[in-house]
Amino acid sequence: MIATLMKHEALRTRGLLGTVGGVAAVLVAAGTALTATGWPGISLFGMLMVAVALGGLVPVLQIALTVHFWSSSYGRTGYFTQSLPLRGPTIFAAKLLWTLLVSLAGVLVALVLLAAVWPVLAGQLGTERNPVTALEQLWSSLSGAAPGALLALGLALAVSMVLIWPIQYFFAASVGSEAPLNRLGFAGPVIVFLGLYVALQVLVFLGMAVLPWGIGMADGQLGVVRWAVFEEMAAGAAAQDDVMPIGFVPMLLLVTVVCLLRSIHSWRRRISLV
Amino acid sequence: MTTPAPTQRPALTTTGLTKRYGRTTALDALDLELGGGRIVGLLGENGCGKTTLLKILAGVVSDYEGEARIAGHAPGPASKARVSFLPDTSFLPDGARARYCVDLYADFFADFEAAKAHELLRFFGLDEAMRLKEMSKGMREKVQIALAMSRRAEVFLLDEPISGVDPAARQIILDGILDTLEDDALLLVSTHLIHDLEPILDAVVMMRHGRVVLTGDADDLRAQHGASLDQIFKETYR
Repeated sequence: MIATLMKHEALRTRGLLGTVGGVAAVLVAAGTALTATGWPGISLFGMLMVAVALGGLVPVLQIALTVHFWSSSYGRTGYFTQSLPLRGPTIFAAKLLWTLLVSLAGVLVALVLLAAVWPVLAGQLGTERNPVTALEQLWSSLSGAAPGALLALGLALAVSMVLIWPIQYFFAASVGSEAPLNRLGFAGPVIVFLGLYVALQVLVFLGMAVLPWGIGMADGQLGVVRWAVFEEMAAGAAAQDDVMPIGFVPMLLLVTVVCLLRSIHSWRRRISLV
Repeated sequence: MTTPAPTQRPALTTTGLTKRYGRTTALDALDLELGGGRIVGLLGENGCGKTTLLKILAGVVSDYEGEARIAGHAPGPASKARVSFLPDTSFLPDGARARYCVDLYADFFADFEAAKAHELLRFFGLDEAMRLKEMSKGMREKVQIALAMSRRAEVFLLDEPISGVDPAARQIILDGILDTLEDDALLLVSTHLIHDLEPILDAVVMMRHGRVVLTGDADDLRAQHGASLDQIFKETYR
């Protein structure tokens, strides 16, 4: 049944997704054309357009699908969705899975678009114009600086950073649509998301305090190094600025798992349409 | 071979059913029992709890107290497979064509008869290629009724199915409903338009402030009060 649910998610969101993708493609094309002029200012503006379109594609897709999730689950059309003879978590899983797939597809589309316009961008940046060669050079420098396991971990982390957002958005939409917040309409999910954001800031900081490690250069190779948040704050200007703390990652993933479980509970027990 | 006796369980029961919205009590310890094979009018003034009751029975509101059972189940996936719910709002995607809506129902409801839906849409004079957003309110209501009534459900819950449409369309819609209703099914229909529905009602449930104030067979009530249901309604809520 999840496949049937996803089929209808695809049918009902294809127009929305096509519009977002089309706007991104037009912005990338226009930005590339402006970049190709080589005119000072205009060229830079064109590159910014490309960067915004490519960088914004996945977040905009995710937000658009979250609005669809909310309206099709708790708005007018929610009456159909919630009347289906299916377990709530099954419907939720199909909607979430569809959004996660679209997110990954969005990343691929953004990469393909980047590769397509890379020769023009690289011409202005003064780097390798062939996207395949540029990718090989990037891979070569990365694999030379970091062990394979770390690279694989980094890739997995990058993918998970894309996928955690819909889970958090859907959590806000689901819990924000429970009584009594459901009487506030879309403000309910917004309030829950703001609460989640504040809680995340605190928890992520705690995560970095409890897990004092980061990714930085050690003996000429990228690796795990010590990075303690309070020590860095005390160091002031002498703080390490070439280390990426990783203490926040487990906390972020843990919060996301909690959001997922709480959303499932909401779909199982707390549906309340107004 | 012996045929097992049909089960005589009620089509729906509620016991002490209570639902609050903040400090407002929409349903106040409501007790109700209705059998199948009847058309029951759920009547009452605005805010008396009719829609809330139907939503709970349809399984789209879960934060209530007390007990509700419909088609032999507590509201949930099992009951939704046996209950056809028509809310008082346009619940299908605006951009969808009527034809797609039929496919949508066919994909999710095992008791849905697509041929019956196509026939009802034709009976209502609707073009299946039209998108819902291109239709008038009355046309959309007809599409929704065609879909809801094309299920072989045990219980039909219709919330104000003919409000907002002209009198001529009302009669067509009622004819469509009556033509498709199975003999043993319960049709619970909430309405303000008692005059239009009176000829088809077998029984009524009148509600006020979240409670049942009057219930009974339509003929019995008419005989007892010496008045039409419409007049009894006006008298009850005067």
